[in-house]
Amino acid sequence: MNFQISVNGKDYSVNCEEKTPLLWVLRNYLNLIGTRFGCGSGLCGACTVLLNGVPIHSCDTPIWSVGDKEIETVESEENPTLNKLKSCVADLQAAQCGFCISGLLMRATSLIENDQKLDRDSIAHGLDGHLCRCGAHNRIIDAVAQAGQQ
Amino acid sequence: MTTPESLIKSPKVSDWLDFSIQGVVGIKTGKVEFGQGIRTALTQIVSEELRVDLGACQILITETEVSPDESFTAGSLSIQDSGLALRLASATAYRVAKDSDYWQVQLTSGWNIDVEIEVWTKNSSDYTIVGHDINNLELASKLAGQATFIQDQRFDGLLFARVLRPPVRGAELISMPSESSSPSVIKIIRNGSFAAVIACDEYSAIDAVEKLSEAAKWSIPANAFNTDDVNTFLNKSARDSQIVHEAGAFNDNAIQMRATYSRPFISHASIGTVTAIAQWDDSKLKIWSQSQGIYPLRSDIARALKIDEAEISISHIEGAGCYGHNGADDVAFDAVLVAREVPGRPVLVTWSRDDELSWAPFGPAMQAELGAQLDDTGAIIQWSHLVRGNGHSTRPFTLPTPSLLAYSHIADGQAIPAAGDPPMPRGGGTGRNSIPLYDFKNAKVVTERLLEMPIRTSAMRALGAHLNVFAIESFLDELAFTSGQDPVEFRLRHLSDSRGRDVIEKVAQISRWGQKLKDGAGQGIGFARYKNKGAWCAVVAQVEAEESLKVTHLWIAVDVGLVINPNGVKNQIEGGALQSMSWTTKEEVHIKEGKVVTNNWEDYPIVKFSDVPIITTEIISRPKMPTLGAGEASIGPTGAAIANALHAAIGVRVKQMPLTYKNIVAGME
Repeated sequence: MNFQISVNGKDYSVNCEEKTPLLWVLRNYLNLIGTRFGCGSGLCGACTVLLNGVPIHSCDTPIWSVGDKEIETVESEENPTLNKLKSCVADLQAAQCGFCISGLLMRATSLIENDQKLDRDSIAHGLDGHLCRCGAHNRIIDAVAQAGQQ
Repeated sequence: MTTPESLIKSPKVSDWLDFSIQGVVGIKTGKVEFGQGIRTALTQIVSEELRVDLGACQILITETEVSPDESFTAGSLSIQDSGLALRLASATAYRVAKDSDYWQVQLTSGWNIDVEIEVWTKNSSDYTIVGHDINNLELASKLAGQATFIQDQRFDGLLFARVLRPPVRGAELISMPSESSSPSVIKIIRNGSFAAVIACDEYSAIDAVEKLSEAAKWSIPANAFNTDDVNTFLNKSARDSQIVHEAGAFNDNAIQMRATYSRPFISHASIGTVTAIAQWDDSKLKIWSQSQGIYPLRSDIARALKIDEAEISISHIEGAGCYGHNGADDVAFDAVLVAREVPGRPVLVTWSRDDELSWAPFGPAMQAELGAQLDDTGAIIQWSHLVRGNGHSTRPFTLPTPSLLAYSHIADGQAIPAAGDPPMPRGGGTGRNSIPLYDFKNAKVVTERLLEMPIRTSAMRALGAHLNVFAIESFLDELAFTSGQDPVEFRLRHLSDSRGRDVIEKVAQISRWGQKLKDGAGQGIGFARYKNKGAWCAVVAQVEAEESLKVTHLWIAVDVGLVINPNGVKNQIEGGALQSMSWTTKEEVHIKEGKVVTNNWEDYPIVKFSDVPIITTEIISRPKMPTLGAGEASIGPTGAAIANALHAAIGVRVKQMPLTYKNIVAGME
């Protein structure tokens, strides 16, 4: 089937099975490989993207359900919150292998934009659906707090 | 100085440095990146010694054709081995090019000259790049979402494959469909009990292998392994016993106190699943792999396929964080088998999450029995330590037959032999950190490596040091407590090693050891020198325990000698501490009748953001001392510190990891 989707402000036409998860549309059809596969069942957060600003797991979101909603991924260059976050993560060296960071950046963008009271605790709980195995957690929390204050 | 190990096989400056592009220094290393920041640290060393800007130094991809063979990237040895070789190669180049420049020498005489072992190297007090916080060279591209990982490569004509795994260990494939109705599926392949689907895109391969799995028929073996029986297994299996340490007049009959500590099988549980790409052209085989050892991997693949290893070339491309011998080598062999069926096309194979948590080698389940006698003054005068478990290495090309997973499934393959252990002079496996660094006059240490291996085990960060340090440091705590001595003082009175004393004293100071804490809170300490010859590390944990255990703060003092990149060391030390905390408090692989049931993140939980304590790390800088690796030093001390803090908080000594509610309750009885 043919689908028209909008990613990072750009329109794409994709021909694939309707049950194909958004993750694989991004990675295989659009060559947007910054969104990563971690588990395929929405339990690790690595594949998180924004759908109309709301964080979702692209690994269990079929392409048919996306419709005309705007998709935003880590490759986006126009989102000021995301850009701020990226520079705070770089400043604090808040990643080790960096495999989990794409999903975390998207989640944190939404945390900041929703203007939650961003102390250490609320950030940590806000990121709880994301796993990191290298142990960069504290620096990631600090980077989100720093970006939130800017 | 004796010739450093890395320089024995690769003695020339040109083995390490490439000046073929004017103004650019190409750095060659056999050590590979998997999130530990090694490429950044090695670049700092070369830039410093050559007096060439960091920006002009480019670390090259590790490839079997061009890179020095430095075997595995393991054991916290990259900076010690590759770093030393690169420093000496750079210092030699600096001396030789003094009246010219590096690129001029390249054009006139070339760099095929011996690295000088006794060459004058820069004084550490003159360093401007080494010892400073240099940002990770690869992070920026990762934050931009660029194709930095092996999973992200999109070669021309790339196909995707997924492998069908047996439902339980030892199952044999009887039958399965040989065709798929999906137009995206190129081929279904089968070789004995190894099967895979090749498709044009990744999702079609995933979808097709799920259908294949539903239709496949297997013969299921009887009497498969259960982790519920692990203690029986540990005590009944045939074993290779070795006395690895005997001191003074050890007398087992004098032992007054004994305690047994254990840990379960644990999983690598990387966030990304292992991936590889392979391509066959005529008889030539090209592989792109995230392996920790591309040279030994090449040798094992050559031996498994009975082909000449000169026909195989392997390039390293980084995968997700890797903490030991995971499935990286296995998936490379999967890709080789699959790509053989579509000559001329590159094929990318990624494991599923289930594959990753079920089929990668595990960190072995272990048991340690400790014993001690104190004299009238409360000093330890007899010490015994016996540790048992499966070996810690099934790494490629270290065993009599190939140890690649699919080799145990294909028609003419063989079962993977039981895991071995690195010898004790190289740090050991089961016995790693089992020999006490403390001054125990009369002591005996025995290792028992099991010769049956129902579940494949191999190297995982710190190997046996996780349990051995947990056991030694828990037992010391218990001895201190029962004899009415302060745990920090008790350690110091038995420790003459001055750098060890320094980290213990430092961590006691920064944690305000001995301070009064609220009810239900406690502090505990753990200490080790990794492998008894690596970095010194002491950790104080503070925990609160009511309904469950919560680690609230970790203080860490570490001595890695000359620090190359302080920020990088902190990342490694704190990352190691959190991983150890995760293993120690949460992780346990469950296997029922040969099937790993902890095959997803709900059943195999690891630390979450909200579990993470505040961490305060202090590096004791020793610019005149050789650099020691930082990746594994905090693993043992952190686990022990948490268990000791739990005891300080609620008076319960939990000797069986993980420190879950169930095991804490069991510890009360």
